[in-house]
Amino acid sequence: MLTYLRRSFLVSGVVVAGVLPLSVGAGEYDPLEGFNRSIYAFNEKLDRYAVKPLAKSYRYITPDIAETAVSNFFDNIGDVGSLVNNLLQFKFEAAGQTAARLAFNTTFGIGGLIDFASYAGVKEHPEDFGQTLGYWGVESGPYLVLPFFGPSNVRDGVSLFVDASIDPVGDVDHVRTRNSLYGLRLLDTRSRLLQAEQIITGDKYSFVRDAYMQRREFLINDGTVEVQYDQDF
Amino acid sequence: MKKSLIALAVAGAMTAPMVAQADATLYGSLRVKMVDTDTVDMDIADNSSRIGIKGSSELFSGAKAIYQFEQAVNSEAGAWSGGRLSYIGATGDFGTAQVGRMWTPYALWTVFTTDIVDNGTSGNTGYVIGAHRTPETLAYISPDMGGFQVAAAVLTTDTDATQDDEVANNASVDVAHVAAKYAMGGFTGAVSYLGYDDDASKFGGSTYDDVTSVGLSYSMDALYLGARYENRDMVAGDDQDAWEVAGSYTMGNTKLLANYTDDDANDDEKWSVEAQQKLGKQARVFAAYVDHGDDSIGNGVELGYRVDF
Repeated sequence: MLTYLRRSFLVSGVVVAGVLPLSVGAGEYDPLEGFNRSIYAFNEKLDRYAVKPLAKSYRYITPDIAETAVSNFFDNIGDVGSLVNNLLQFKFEAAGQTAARLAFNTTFGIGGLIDFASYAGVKEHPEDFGQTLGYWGVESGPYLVLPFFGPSNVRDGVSLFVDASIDPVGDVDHVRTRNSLYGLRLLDTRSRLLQAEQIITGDKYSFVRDAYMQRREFLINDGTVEVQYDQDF
Repeated sequence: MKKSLIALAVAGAMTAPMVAQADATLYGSLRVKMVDTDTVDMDIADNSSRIGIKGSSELFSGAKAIYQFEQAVNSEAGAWSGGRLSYIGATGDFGTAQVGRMWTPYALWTVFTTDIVDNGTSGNTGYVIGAHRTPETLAYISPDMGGFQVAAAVLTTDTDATQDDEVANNASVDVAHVAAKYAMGGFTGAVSYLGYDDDASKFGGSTYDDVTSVGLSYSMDALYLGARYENRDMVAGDDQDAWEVAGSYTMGNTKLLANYTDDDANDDEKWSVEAQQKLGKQARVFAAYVDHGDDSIGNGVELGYRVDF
């Protein structure tokens, strides 16, 4: 869960952040800034001294092909949640393609290790429950930094419980296997962010916050962003 | 001078085989699947491969002579695997008349409405009686008359030995066959009747008195729905009813399919869900979950790849 949020916010949040004027007053959606900043500082420490070094070592040790296989594996597992949430948003075509992705990647892709479906041209449609709520008009609520999980907001934070209940990794009965999977997924996600985070400039906290909030909006609208580029100039 | 001669020679070499090819098409479809179910363990099997030749030529009257010859291929054995089609005929504004071994109107108009998935449960109810592809058949299919078409056929089999299972099911049975089809908009409805001759019993091969089938289908944009019903009037014992529904939804090169069959000839209902993906114009894969009920095959997964040419 942590993994999704962090991945989604940074990887393309950064892209959006570069495009959108960050003109909205931060106070409007970050009334809890004081609280958030302290949690943020905690997460940063955790990341700097534990998660990031681990991710770097993981990336250093593991051959690229194995890293890709691991990423594919967790993406395939993530498609289970995407399938459910596409259905909940009545996006039946996207749900159908996600079902096809699951069928092909789990079989031809050897348990998800190979992203066969993408080679064959079946598109990804990642969706989580926070996006589903947003799609049906639930407001995001104030920005919220969660311990361990990172940037979120009230809506998406609550949705994590639903996402966790759909997550197939949670259904693995063997505790050590399950925890190993959680750990590996964390490493996978963090290592995927190593390059993206280099773009961050200025106050990291507000950069991440703005990127996250805009990224979520972007995802909920399926990439349609209503921006009038002339209004700020 | 020399150049143009070479050009002519090249052009000649190019056109000569073109002329010869113009009316004969070599075609085929090689299909392999892997089946893993309760009782079948990772079996790599053939999935109805075939290779054939077909074509047509002009008749003096302006109609066309048509022919098709198609062999089953067992991709497991890497060998020919018996005859599928072998017929000749004539087609024109009067309709189509053909004789030989062919798909019957029963198959074309009712069985194929639900025989749409690539896995082993496909069109299950349509292959029980064994009248989908028949030898020694004489058939007439009318032209399309404002969406309406009729067909009539005689299925004759004599006592000649045949190696083919399908035919053996029907050994030495004479059958009169009529069928009608109506298509309007995305809707198609068809009825087929097969009446088995009483004499058939004297050959000891008759199971059915008559078989009536109905096929309905509806397609709208990417959605396809098909349904099929068949009633088999048995020589001995109770009538058999068979139901089958199937549907598909196409999204670009991806297709999702599902089917369900309930046939008195089988102990259990069967169903499957399947995803197909075109990898190119003439290649596709499928992945399916199949449930054969409690019969010998059980439940499991089928994966397949096919290449057409």
